[in-house]
Amino acid sequence: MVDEKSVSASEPLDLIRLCLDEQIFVKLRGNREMTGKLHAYDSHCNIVLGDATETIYYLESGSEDVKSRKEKSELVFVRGDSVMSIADASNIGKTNA
Amino acid sequence: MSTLKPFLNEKVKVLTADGRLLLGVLEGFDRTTNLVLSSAKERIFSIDEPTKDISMGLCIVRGNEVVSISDYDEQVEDSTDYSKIFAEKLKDTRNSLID
Amino acid sequence: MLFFSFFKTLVDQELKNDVKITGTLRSIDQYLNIKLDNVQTDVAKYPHFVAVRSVFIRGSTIRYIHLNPNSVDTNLLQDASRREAMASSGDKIVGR
Repeated sequence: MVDEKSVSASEPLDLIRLCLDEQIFVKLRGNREMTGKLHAYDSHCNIVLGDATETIYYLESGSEDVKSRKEKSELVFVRGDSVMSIADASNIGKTNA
Repeated sequence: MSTLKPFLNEKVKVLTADGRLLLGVLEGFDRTTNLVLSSAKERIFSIDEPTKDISMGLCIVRGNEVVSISDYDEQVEDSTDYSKIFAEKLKDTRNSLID
Repeated sequence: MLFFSFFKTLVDQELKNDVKITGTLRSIDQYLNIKLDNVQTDVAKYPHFVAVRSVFIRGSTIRYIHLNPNSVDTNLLQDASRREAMASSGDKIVGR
C-alpha cells in the first residue's frame, strides 16, 4: 500500500512517520539521549521505543568532567515534552561508542 | 479526568515540582490539579537532621507545581518513627546539569 | 488520543523526575495523568512514600513509562500511529 499520501513528507511530523520501525536517535531534556526502534508517536512527540538504550550525562560533584551512564529498557514510552530532537539513527552512527 | 474524587476528604501526601512533600486533607481540586489542602503540613527530610513537620493550615497548591497525590495507610504511617528517618531532599523536575 | 487508548489497555510501571514508581495502572485520562494502585517505591530512599497505597501522578511530570513488551503488540502500535498521522493530515487538507 504505497500511495502518495504515505510517501510524501510535507511537514516535520511526516519525517517521524518515515522512521516508524527504524532505529532512531532522540535527544532529550535533562542531558539525556536515547536510541531505539520507533514503534509509535503522536502529534505531541510522545513516542514508544523498543530495545531502547538511554545515555544520561552528569557531573560528579567536585569534578568538571561530564560523565555518562547507560540504561536499557525493552519497551519505553517517552513523554513528548522531554523530546528535543529525533533523528534517523542510521544517519548518525554510534555516539560515544 | 483520571479523577481525584476518591481522594476527596482523605488524608493525602502531595509531592511538588520543587521536591517538597505536603500532607493534608484534600478539600478540593479542579481540572488543572489545583488543590486545596486543610490541616496541611510540610514534611522536611534531611540527610543530617531528623525529619520535621511544619504546619501550614489551609493551603492552595497550584496545579503546575503538583507532581503526585497519594492516599496512605494511616496505621502504617502512625507507626513509622520519622525521627529516625534521614533522607536526601528530592530533586526538582527541571533536571539541570548543575544543581 | 493514540496513547490514551493505548495505555488504557495496559497494566505496568513507570518512572518520573528521577523517582521510580511501580504499580498497577488503574486509570488514565486525556492529559496522560495516571493513577496507580499497589504502589511500590524504594521507601528507604524516598520516605516520602511511606504507607502509600495508590497514587495519582500528574502527566506533565512523567518522563518515561516502562512497559512490559509481552503485553504490547508493536505492529498494532505502528499501524495505529500511521492511521493517526493519516487522519490528522486529512484534517488539514479539509480545513484548508
